[in-house]
Amino acid sequence: MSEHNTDKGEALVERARAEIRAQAAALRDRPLLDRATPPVAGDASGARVERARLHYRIGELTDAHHHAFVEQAFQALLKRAPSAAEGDTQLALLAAGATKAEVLGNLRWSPEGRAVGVRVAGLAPRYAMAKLRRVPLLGYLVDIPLNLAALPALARHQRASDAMSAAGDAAAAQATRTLAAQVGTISRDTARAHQRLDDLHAFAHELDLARDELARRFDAVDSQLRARIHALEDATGTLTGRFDEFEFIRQRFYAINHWMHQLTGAFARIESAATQGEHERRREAWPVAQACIDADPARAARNAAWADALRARSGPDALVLTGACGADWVASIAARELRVVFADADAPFAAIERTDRIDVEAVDTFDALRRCADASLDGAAFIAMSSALRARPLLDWLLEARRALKPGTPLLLGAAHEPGAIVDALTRPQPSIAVDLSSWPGSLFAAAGFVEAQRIDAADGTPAWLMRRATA
Amino acid sequence: MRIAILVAVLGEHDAVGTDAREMAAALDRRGHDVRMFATSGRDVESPEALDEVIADPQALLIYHFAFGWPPGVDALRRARCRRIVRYHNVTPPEFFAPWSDEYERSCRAGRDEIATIAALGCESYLCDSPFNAGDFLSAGVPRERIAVLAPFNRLDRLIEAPAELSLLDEGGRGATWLAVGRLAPNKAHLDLFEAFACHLDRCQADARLLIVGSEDARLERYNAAVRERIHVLRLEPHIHWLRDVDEGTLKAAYLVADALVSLSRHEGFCVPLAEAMALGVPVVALDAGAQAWTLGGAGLVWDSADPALIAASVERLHADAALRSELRERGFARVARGFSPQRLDQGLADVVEALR
Repeated sequence: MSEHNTDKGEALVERARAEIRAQAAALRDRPLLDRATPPVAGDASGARVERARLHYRIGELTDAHHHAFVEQAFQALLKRAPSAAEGDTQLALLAAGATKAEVLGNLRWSPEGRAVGVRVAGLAPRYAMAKLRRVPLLGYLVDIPLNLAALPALARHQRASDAMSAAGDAAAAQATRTLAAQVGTISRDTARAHQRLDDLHAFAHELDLARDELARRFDAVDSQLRARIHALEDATGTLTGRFDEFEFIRQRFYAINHWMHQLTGAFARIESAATQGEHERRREAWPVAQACIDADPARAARNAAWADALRARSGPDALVLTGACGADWVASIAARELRVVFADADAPFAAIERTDRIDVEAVDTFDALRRCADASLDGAAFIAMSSALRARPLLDWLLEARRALKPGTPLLLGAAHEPGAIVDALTRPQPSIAVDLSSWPGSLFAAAGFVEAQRIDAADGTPAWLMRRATA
Repeated sequence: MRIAILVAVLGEHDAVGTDAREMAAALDRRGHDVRMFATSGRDVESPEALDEVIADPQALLIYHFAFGWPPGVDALRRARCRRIVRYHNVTPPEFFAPWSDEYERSCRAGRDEIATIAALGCESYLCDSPFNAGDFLSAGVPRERIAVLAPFNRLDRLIEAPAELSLLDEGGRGATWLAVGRLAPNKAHLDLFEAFACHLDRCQADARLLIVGSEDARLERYNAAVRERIHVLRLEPHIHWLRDVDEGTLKAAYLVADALVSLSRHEGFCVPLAEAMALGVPVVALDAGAQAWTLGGAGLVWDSADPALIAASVERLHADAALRSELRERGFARVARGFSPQRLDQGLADVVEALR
């Protein structure tokens, strides 16, 4: 039997070890617990166990009855609550006629009770007597005289018990009546509760209906929203395509812009080269032109005559614009107390020095006239019209001169061979326009806003017109 | 027979002191003239007075060897009487290397003395456990001179003592772990805390850990590491320290515990295991040192200190009444078979008689 028990125990421990290993492997998969501060022991089992108390009087432990007695006995002697099976065992003992002292003694001198070591005054002799009564024959022999001796006390207990029973019956009847009244109240409360329950069921049904309606509405809204979302997705797709096209066009535009920039640069370089070439040609031709005019014996007399005529029509210090002429003409009019603005693209070649009466601008003569403010000039003299008309028609010259001249101031137009015209003839493939001032009628200038136009041809026959800007 | 029991320091409650005192009492009961010698302790004589006894060839010297102590070796060397070396084991210095230079030196000196004492050719080497006996067998002592006798103890007194339960009323529904032993690196309290934290986190959030044992001021670095680990693992609310306890409080600690947990890495015997078995407390232990032998199958012994394994063991013991009962019965049987005063008295008497 003992060997059998040993084998069972060995199997139990081995099975437990295997299960513990499996449990340990699974332990890490368990969720983390919220740690709690350990609660006091009394909270777990209701009544608090007086663990520190180790001395009792037997009366303290025998006053209670039935369940309360067993509970108190365990807590006092074993310092813990009884399990359900342990409680049932002790109650069965009491039901079989065991005394409370016997139950207490069994607990106190059990291995567990010995380990706790509680001392109960008066328990030992009562327990010994109870055990003695359990001995066959001897217990009976002891029990008889003891019970006989106790008969008066038992009779007194019986009478007291009868009185207590009667009192208990009366109390029970009163309690029954009270209970009946309470049952009636509870019945009425129950009926009301049933009615409330029915109401709640109805309300719950209405809630169900409302919930279904709400669900239908949600479905409709959901469908609409989905349709809107699809439409937006389509529009977004279209826009995305447009954006792609736009991006393509933008890239092409940038490419074309780049090409145009390159082309403009190329043209600029070509023009620059052409301008530079013409500039060089004119520089080379200028000494030849200078030599030509130096060889003209009538030039000095002609310039002097025309300068006198111009001075006669202008006041002292009058500001006169001239161009497309030689340096000697500029010096000639400056010498007659006139202030001269010499404007000619070939000015660097003419070698005319700036003085307080002579201002030099290296720009085209017509451009200089056009930049002058309205009625800002006191006179103008263009003595090489054959060269001037090559760049602009006569009408342009007359209109710009009328605008820039002050009313009443003179305009001199001549047909002399000046260096600019000679250089033009030398460097350009087309010949200069042949200007025949003598064929122009005076009415032409009157129509253009000039009055008192008169011929002041030079002694060598070079034609020239002198006129005055009309005042109105 | 005149018998001199020599101990370096005779404590009141430590394992070596208890063994020496109870051994003296047992020999005294058998009519021997027993005197105790130690550098400190209650009712002892100075080791300087030892020569009077050990010069007598008919006398017997019993030297309790637990750490390095050159005067003890000198006494064995000078003795003209018969000699018994009572060996409680010396903790390997490696355990203390990270924590205390002083302890490391002391333990290294003690381990070195094993070979010296083995070479002295004493008549008997009485070891606490087969694990301890292995040290002297390895040092060349003939097997016939080696005997195993568990240390004398005070289990009876502990069983009979009234438990002081008032300090422990705050127990809850969760499992109660118990650890008994001073704070020392080889006791592996750091492993214990990891396992207990695992139990709190995965098994029972309201479990608690009772630690019966004191800190050693010379191991302050280790003490600080213990405190740090407790703080890191947030165990403060769940740990109940019991320092310098009397027998009543120690018994109460055992009675309320669901399991004694010992993850010690090195034990020559481990008296708390015997106490737990005597009081019916299930044990969870690491298979290290002599612990498996001490338990003799009356506990859950594992070859790993895996926190999950230890936590699952305590959880199972807390929930499984049948397993608790089986281990309790085995523990009672183990104590009765190996550690009862009668058994120990007889075992010592056999050893002494063999030397006559």
